Amino acid sequence: MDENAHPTPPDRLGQLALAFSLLASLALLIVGGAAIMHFVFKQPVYGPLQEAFVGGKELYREYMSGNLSMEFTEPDDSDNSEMNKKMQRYMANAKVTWDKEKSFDGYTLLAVRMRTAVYMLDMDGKVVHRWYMPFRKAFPNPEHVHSWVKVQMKITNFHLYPNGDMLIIYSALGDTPYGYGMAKIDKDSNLIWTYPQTAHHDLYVAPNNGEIYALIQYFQRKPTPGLEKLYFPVLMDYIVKLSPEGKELWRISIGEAFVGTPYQSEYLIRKGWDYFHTNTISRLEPEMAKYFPMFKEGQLLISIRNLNALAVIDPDTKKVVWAARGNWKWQHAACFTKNGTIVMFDNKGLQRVGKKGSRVLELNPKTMETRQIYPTKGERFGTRIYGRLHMLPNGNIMIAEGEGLRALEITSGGELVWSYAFAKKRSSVMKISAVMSATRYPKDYITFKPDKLQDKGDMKAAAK
Amino acid sequence: MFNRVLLALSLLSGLLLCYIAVAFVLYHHYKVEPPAVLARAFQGGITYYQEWQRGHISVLGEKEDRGKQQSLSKRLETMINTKRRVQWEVDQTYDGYTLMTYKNHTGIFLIDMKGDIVHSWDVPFKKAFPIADHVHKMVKVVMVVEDAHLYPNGDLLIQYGGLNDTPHGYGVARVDKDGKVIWAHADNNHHDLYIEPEGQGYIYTLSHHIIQDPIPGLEHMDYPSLMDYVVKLDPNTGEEVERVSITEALQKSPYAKYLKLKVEDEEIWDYFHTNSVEKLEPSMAKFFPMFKEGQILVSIRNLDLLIMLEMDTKNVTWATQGSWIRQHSAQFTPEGKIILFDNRGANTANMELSRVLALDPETKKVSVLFPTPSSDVRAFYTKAHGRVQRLPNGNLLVAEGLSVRVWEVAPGGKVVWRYALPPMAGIDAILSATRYTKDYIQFTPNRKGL
Repeated sequence: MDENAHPTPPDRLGQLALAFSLLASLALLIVGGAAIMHFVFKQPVYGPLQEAFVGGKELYREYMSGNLSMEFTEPDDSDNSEMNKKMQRYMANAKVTWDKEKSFDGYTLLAVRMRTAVYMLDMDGKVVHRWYMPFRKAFPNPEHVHSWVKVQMKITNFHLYPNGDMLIIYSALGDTPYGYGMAKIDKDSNLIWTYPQTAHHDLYVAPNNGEIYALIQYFQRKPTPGLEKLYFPVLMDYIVKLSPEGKELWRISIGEAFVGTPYQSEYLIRKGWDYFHTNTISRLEPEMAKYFPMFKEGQLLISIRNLNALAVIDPDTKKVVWAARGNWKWQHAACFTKNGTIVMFDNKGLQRVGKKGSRVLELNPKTMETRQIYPTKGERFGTRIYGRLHMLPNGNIMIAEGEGLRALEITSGGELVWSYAFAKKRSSVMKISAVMSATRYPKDYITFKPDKLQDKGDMKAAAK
Repeated sequence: MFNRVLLALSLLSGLLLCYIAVAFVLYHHYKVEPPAVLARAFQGGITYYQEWQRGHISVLGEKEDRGKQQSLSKRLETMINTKRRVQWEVDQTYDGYTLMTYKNHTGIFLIDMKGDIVHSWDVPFKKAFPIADHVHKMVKVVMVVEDAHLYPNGDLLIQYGGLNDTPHGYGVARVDKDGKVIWAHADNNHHDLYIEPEGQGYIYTLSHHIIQDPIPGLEHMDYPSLMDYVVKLDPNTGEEVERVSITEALQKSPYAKYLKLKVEDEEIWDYFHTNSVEKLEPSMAKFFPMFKEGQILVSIRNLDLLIMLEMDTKNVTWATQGSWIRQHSAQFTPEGKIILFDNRGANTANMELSRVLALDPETKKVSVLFPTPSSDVRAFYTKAHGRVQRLPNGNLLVAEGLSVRVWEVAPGGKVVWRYALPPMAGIDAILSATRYTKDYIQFTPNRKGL
């Protein structure tokens, strides 16, 4: 029997493969056509494709401009590195002025741009201790950030515990979200715990129970009820509360905190992917609450830079109970004072033409009147972005002047009583270009022995 | 002696030039601020250079290319005559003639219900304003007619605008039925015209100007800033009779908080962007007990805000935001409602479409007038522009801006007349559409017998 007489069994697999390849080429044609519509004729195409094209284009552009890298590198700033030696020499040249009578005695802590270190200075401006924690040491495999983006890392704020433990907040320039997380380290810069979320800008540690308040940020892609007037995706800010061990207890969306309040229609309109840019968090402590009858203890004060707004949020109802805008702009570091006022660093930001500089402003929330605390005589003072201040126990104010490259201490009357100024000429060499945060702790606050003080002691001992 | 003075002078001027050059290098490369005057000069120069590179500036001065314009006119007319699509539910419309203005063209056409041209005007900006000192003559603009008003005798008020330029308001002119200029008001009037139907027939429109220095109490704004005004013009001479600053009126009113909102990042210099103005006439005032007759309703696009402005006290007596975004064309209706065109503009990320709303000013509740389920309209959207006219029988005439369509809608939302032009290079928007009845018109049209 001739085998050829048999009807050839149909090649099912081949037919399937053919159909499949036809379908696949059709899909490719659709994508190709859509790409031409998008790139050549600038026509909007089907949603996911549109996003893919825009994303691809941006990725290519960033790659070409060298902002992407498959390997994450951080400059070596360890104790014996060339960079740290240079920095120490640089800091030795800083200019210090000191009014011994009126200043608040203690140790000053300082964080600058481009460094993942915090410096501790004595009143003469001498570095007596240094904490150093590279981001990649704290987060070897960070899943909460875009690990392939080349960024400039900095510590935006910190909190010192008496035993030398320290909380630090990482921020990255060159990526979004720019919040890179929180870590707790000990006095010898050993890692204790990390909070791998996009914590940014600021943190607040409740003095009574050690609970930590911080700010995190995520892109929200679709509107939720009440947020329809924002444009999406929007970088949404959240307040988080952590236990002293770094466990997250709850979070509040700042956008949703405005929904359903009398402030909704004024505060929740308009475009801008970085709509809020919250940069400060603090809490109304029981001993302060009596000075603020309109607020309740435990309520949280935030500064929302891009809305030029301050807001007080109740953590129980998760709603805004008070919000205000005024004659300040791009403000930072709002905090409660014992005078029943709120003091803030008013950057008056981004006013390039006819720029007059920044100021420290005191707001009376009852009357909405403001008073300029500093500068008093038109001293040169200012930074377009950054800037932070801390109230000291005796009523003095410690200021980090941001791009002004100074740390200043003023009295509540605006008198300059202590200052630490980096040499500006060399700042471009050192690339630090800004003081991010500065605060002062009284000498009896700390129970650990700073490194260099020990050196001094050794030297004295050696001299004896 | 003379030589020495000359030498000293030339050395001094050389020094000055060096100073300026160094200041520029410091400003441009190292972002070091020179004195404010120099900073402004440098910023201006840099911007001028960039605009020139982009081709927005012609050094020889703004010249309208008549050849191109004429061919555009011809194409526009051919398109209107042959490519328009009209759907008409004959007995349900408010019949009459529709006056339409366009983007990128100064031609204005009066068309009948079938879409045939009845009369046309084409008064180029340069003809109305031969001197035009109120605009930047070196900027290449997209010329628009944002609004027009027809008088019974064929006189026409034309509201010119120049996109690409700031201020973009290019002024108001009154021309007769043959396009002869009667008067032209050389101010940065923009967007909208309102003509008193009774009495003197005063014209209300908007104006805006650039303010360089911070206004006391408003230092938080970005300067230079575009500030908006409501102005009142004499219909016979075009002279300005009255002017009220929106900024000042808001500042002293209980609604000063609206001066501190966040506007879009790329529009911080254009804080208000007012786009419609309407007076509360005595005949209408009885439907609005909370307002007084003579008050002016102004729509402020960039704040999603409607305000009631009192001209004589220069005060704002009422203001509200709502669920609308970048609205246009707010006006009163005898039902005691305020209707407006809600663009939801530039909100493409949220995939929202435009709509016509009715707002109850008492309860602040809104209802959608168009499109409704009975409209059977799928995509009604214009990012910018958009205009609505309430017709005496309760119908709405809606110009869909960048979608080049005009709708007449019966109460309930049913579409009774639809006029659409195909997209055409250059003319990509119908900026205004106004319906006039047959007996309103008392002149002999130049195209088609009445």
